[in-house]
Amino acid sequence: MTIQFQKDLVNINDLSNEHIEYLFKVADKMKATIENKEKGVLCEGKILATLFYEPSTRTRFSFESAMHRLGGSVIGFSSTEGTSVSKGETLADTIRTIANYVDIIAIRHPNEGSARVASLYSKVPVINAGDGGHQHPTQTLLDLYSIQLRKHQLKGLNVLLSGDLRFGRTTHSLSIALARFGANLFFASPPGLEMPDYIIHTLKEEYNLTPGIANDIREYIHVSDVIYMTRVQRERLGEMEYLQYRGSYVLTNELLKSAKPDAMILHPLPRVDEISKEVDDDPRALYFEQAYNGVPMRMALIATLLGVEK
Amino acid sequence: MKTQMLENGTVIDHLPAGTGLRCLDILKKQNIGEESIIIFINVPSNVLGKKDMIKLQNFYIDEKMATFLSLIAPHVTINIIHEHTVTKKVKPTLPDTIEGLIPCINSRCITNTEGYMTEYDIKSKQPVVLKCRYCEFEFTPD
Repeated sequence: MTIQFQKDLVNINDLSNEHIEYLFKVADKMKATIENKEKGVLCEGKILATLFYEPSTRTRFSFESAMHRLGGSVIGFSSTEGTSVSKGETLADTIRTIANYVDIIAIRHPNEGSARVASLYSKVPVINAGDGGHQHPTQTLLDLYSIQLRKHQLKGLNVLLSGDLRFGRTTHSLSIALARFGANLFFASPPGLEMPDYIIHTLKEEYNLTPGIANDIREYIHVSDVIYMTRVQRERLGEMEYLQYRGSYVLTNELLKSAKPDAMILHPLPRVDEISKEVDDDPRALYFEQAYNGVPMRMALIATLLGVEK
Repeated sequence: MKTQMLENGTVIDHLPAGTGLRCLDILKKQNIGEESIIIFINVPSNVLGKKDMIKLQNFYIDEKMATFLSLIAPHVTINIIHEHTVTKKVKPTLPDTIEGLIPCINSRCITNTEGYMTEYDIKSKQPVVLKCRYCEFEFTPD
């Protein structure tokens, strides 16, 4: 069955649940090609631009790895030094130029709404690889995929999102997507780093979901099927504010004693100190497997938006 | 209040008490020039209890400005005066979406750094709640 996708992925709401389930299936196929060490050919002759105005390790590398594994090539920048951006070029002009050189663009930018601007000015598909504290839809796709692979469903799961929910953009996209699939949500964050009101409002108004809200992870850890941790977003806080929050919540083996034996511990990474290193040896700690899943999922997305996936 | 005092111009009526000066600030950015402006604050009102009112001598506001005022004052009435007579009375209604008019309140929004025209969906009309189409921030203009 053919399913029609929009040109761009700016917001997780650009994808319906059917789109996401379709991408799960394509990602399964991509995962098999990686594990069978097959040579990718789907994107031969195609070029991906990775325009990263902000630092990134996993997202940029996994986009680039995904395109290489599909047989395509990659150009781009990982900082604006040495580009016309440092001369004051607007995002719109950069995009209009780069879109002449490539077949698809992945962009990360510090300003919220920047991916929408890019999509409006680009003639080729644009993928939002993170726009400020707003959204990170490809992280959401790989998070959902990671949960789906282990739990085989999303509906009815209890998902606890913990940490900096104010600026942790991955949690914004993820909570909306999970609500759409019928998961139950619990939010635990220190006072001042709570989930933005507009997300809570959207969950209530559009999905009839009232999340459990607490300032301490202990309140919900025992009922959670998924424990999704996030770091304090230092780059979006003043230094004094960051110091106030640093180390204010840490997931430890002691805390995990009350967690379900089959709970999944996820984290979009990078980790700072919010998951104690001792937790890495717990079989429930799946954040590096989660990071791996970013490659097949981004392969699926690139191939689908380019219309080469059959 | 005697609208007859104004020979030609606009009377902006039914502004909630306390919003008159804010509305005046907005209007002053619209090249009113040297024309006379009269502002009434805390006037008794059957509709609002108390209200503010602005009279603009020889100045007529356009539809875009009327919409803008209705974001701040949902009950606003615009009276167009010619030769001491009200020739047109407009109660602007909020559309479902608006473009431009006001900046996004989110300082991290791309519209604030590179000057793209703002676009909002109106999530609620009473009280007015706007949702930025770029950053999705929701806020009440005031």
